Amino acid sequence: MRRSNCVEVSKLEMMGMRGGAGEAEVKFNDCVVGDDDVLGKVNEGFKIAMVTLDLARIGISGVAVGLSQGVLDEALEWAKTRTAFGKPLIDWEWIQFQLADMKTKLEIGRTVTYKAAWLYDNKDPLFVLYASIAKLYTAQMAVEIARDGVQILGGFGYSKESFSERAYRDAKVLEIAEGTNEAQKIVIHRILTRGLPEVEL
Amino acid sequence: MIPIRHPSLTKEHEKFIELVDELSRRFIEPVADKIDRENYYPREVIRELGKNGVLAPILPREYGGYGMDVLGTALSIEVISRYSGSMGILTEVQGFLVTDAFYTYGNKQMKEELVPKLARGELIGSFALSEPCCGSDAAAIETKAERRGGGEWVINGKKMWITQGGLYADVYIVFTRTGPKEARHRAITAFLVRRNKCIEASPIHVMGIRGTGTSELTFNDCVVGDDDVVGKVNEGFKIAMEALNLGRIAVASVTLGLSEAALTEALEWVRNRRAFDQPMTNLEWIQFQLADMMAYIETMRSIVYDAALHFDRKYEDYYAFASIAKLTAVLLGMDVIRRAVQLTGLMAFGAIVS
Repeated sequence: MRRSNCVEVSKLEMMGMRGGAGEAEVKFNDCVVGDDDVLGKVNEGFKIAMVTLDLARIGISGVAVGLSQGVLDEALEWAKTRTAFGKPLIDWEWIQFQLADMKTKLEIGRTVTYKAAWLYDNKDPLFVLYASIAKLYTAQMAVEIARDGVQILGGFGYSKESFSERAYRDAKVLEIAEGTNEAQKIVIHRILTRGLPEVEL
Repeated sequence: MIPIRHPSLTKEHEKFIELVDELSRRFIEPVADKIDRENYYPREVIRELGKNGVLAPILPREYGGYGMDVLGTALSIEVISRYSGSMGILTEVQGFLVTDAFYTYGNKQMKEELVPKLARGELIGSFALSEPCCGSDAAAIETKAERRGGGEWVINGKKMWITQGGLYADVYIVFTRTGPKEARHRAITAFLVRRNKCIEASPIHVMGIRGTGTSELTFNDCVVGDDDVVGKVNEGFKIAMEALNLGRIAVASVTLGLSEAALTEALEWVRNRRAFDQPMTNLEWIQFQLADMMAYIETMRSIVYDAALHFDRKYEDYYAFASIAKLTAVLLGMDVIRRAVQLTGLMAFGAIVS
């Protein structure tokens, strides 16, 4: 389907991922296309959507890992330079433990994301399971790390001058788009009970 | 909207809830979205709430309040926040942090002349404690007030994250250092400072509670008099802490109101939405989400009202309960709202604009 006047678009205004993503509601009114425009085979489109989304899930996990790394970097830098109650934040045990938790979650997320990508590259059908596991874990991870990062930054983290403020809003959609957390659970549960689906890799 | 019921509430509270809800629907609901999207400061709403005694309901009626107890005041903030969290915060700052502090600690002139105008929303008051150096560590603030001859004080320094601090405030309660830094909370004095060219303000753009005029303030040689001391010299820290104890209950109430509105919206959404060939409400996971949210909200309600009653009954450990209520309510509330966004999917993440 090429861009045409039969396509009606209304823009959506979003909490995060603003600007670049250009989310919109799209309406198709009597749009005419030909046999040559069928992608794959007639009545086999759902599979295309699903396989594409499997891949896109790894992309989302990549976004989650990147945003989280940015938040952790900012929080660490802030903790080193900001003082409260007479010493740098980083000398307070609670801050140390928060940063340690953030780092732990991040590295687990990175590992599972890379594993999913590796499985795809090596044409291993386990890829489908790992794409969902990585997406489910890293989306939640990104929201939690962003929340913890904003908390360490305090008022600065709530202001639009910080990276973490934006990351917090951006992270939320990762739990919704390209299959919600719940959709990942459906996939994981199905694989658990029925085995892996057949996919061409 | 889910009903507000609790064994602690009197008939008077219930009538008050109805009044606040009616005012909120009339004045807040029409501008709630604009407050957020356009960073719009709802000056006229503050005036309307003030006229009806619900801006600082804790004050006696002759001072522009509604003669309510702390519980009643918490309820008003909860109800207002069902329509707008920003408006809940503005009511907290104007009513609890500023007006009540002047009423409790101010001299006769502040109490007789200033307080009723603040309570009625004729004047806007701002609470200036936090600084670029220090938020949580408020006893380390650096803004200085130096006494010079003729009963005059000169104030210099920066304040940060000050609600309705910039373009809107007519008066400020400013916490300043009036002794060595090492003396920490024992050398802090509160002053009444009126809007003046010596105060420079720049807005701070924030993620949420938008439209509340969050600002950074710089005080350049602001001159005030002995008569402008709120309470006593070097005893200002206590005023800040007492105000913030009330503020904690209020913030917990804001979270409660927001959570109730979020649950209401999520419930409405799943009732009308179908997925996998059935109504969403048939799905066990959805039912359990809604049940968790309801359980958390009623837990929040109990702890928030309980903390308010600790104030009203003058229990010695009321301040501990204020902190317990704030801590618990915001953690549970964040969880409830996160789940509500998840249940409503992309509809919560975005809103159609054109």
